[in-house]
Amino acid sequence: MKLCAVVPVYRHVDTVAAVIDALLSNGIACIVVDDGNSLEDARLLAQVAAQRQRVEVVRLARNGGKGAAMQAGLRVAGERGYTHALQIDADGQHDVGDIPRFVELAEKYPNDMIYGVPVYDASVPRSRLYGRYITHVWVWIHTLSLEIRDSMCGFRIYPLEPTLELMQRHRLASRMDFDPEIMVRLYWAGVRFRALPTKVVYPPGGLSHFRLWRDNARISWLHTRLFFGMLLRLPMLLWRKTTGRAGRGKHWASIGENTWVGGITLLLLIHRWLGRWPFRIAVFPVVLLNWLLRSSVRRASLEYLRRIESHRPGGRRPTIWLSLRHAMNFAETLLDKLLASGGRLPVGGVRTEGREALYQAVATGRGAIIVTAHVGCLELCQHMAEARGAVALNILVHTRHAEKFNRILRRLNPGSSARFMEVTDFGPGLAMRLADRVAAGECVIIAGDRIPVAGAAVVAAPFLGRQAKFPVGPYLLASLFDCPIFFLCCIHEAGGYVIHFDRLAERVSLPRGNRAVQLARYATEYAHALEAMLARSPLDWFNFFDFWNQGNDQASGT
Amino acid sequence: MQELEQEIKALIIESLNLEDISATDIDTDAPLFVEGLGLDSIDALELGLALQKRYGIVLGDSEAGREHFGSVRRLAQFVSGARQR
Repeated sequence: MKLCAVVPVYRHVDTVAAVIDALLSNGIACIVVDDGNSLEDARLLAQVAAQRQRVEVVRLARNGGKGAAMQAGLRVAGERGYTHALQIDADGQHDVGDIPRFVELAEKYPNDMIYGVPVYDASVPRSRLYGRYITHVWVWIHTLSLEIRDSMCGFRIYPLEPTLELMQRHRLASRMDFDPEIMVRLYWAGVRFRALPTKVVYPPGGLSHFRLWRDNARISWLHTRLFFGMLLRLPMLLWRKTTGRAGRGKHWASIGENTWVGGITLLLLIHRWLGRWPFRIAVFPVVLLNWLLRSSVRRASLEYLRRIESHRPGGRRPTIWLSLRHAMNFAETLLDKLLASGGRLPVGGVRTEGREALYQAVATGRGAIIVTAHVGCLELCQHMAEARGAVALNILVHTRHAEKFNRILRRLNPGSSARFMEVTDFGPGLAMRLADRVAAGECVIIAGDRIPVAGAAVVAAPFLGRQAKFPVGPYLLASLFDCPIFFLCCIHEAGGYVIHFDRLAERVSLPRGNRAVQLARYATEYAHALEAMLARSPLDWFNFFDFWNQGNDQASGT
Repeated sequence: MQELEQEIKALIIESLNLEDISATDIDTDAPLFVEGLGLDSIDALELGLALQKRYGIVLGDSEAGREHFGSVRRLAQFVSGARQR
């Protein structure tokens, strides 16, 4: 451990010398940050440093606040090759007699943050105490833990590596709000905390920079930000709570690059260990936040709900509450998708409708095109087909949309026999590969509700009362391979799922000169089949983008 | 090469059901798609499949693959080149 001290100084020039001497007598080099003091004070400070060995002054031209000064000092400490930095106030409120205890604890737990918990004497103003208590409660909420008992005491030792990493990634608070923010963020980053009770005095006639209203407003804003930060990290925090594990550094950092995949995996773990209701509770804030922050998702959901509810008999009013339930249903179905891919069937059971026709077609060795939609839990169909073993599947995915999700699926179910084929465009190469598969009696699964990323082979068809664009790929393939085409969809019903098959056509023919009309006819039939399923389970529609303007504005989803 | 070109013309007519056209109507150097014969992207796929089946060649999905479909002459060059490999 290479330890130095970082002491921010603003107008406490007369008291800092004693603090510096105490640090030096403990063998600790000092980085003193001159936080834009007056020229006179700056000169005095430089003099204090010049009279001593191992004291460096970092001069900030303008007063930036305690947080900015600390960050400047910590950066310099990192540049000088220190691994740990001790923070202490310049005004003499901290008990320098406790320095050895801090150092000792840091040596014992070099990866952890050592922080002081103030033990006050009668000199503390009451109003400051209440303010502190409110901050404590907030910090407990932000971390979902009581581990940080005090986040405002400026007497502490930072492990520099995670601290500097945080400073690089985030713009941290620059004033009094720095002390609590860095604590909460270090906690989020997986750092553990060691408390050390230490006596704090408010020196009589002492000069505090705490401005009651302005600083309290700043701190309120900080807590608002941290609260939402906590919601985003909720799965991780709950995971940490339930497992008691706080892997620091690489582990969480790598999840940070990959928040989406990591978040889903953690939610999955919550479900595994705690059950479905804790999962719902954990996922709800995440869904709410996404719903609130992503206006395109919200608008798409409401637009769809307005259409489906006026389309189906007994339709409801598309309220905000219904839209939230829509988003929530998506999150919950995501869980079922993952469970299904891991080979676990949902509690409510699975019924099938009309699959005999498909099995007959497969049994005759003709193969088939299966056109699906981003509705309900399709992965369930894949799992059941594999379990039965009667049908070999080739699943076409539009990579740009689905790559992340498929990565998880493959990890959950590495032994899956289904082949995923990535499609950006229909060309003769792909057609040839698929032709071989279908000729061998296999099925090709392709989404009928997402238009290809490249190559605008689309056709318009009425869907829920307005023209929408649909891809021609599925019908084209069925015509090329001269095989039947089925519609497949898996929706929620009666507490479980229903897997529904429809034969769209035994044979697709696209005579020259009449092709556009024929393609539109098949797309319309597909749209009808889809409408019928959505009328049964409206909240299963998972195209959270402006579907009726698809192609004009490429949007993404899962 | 001329023989192959005739063969390909016949294949185009057969695989795309171009009933009212004979091999002599197809200009060896005229573009097959949009102008010229006026074939569309679906025809391209069907023709691609037919070529692959007949000559055992493998077509890519890339733009380079599409260039071979420019005219019967280019298609013939591509097929003979691919067969020799």
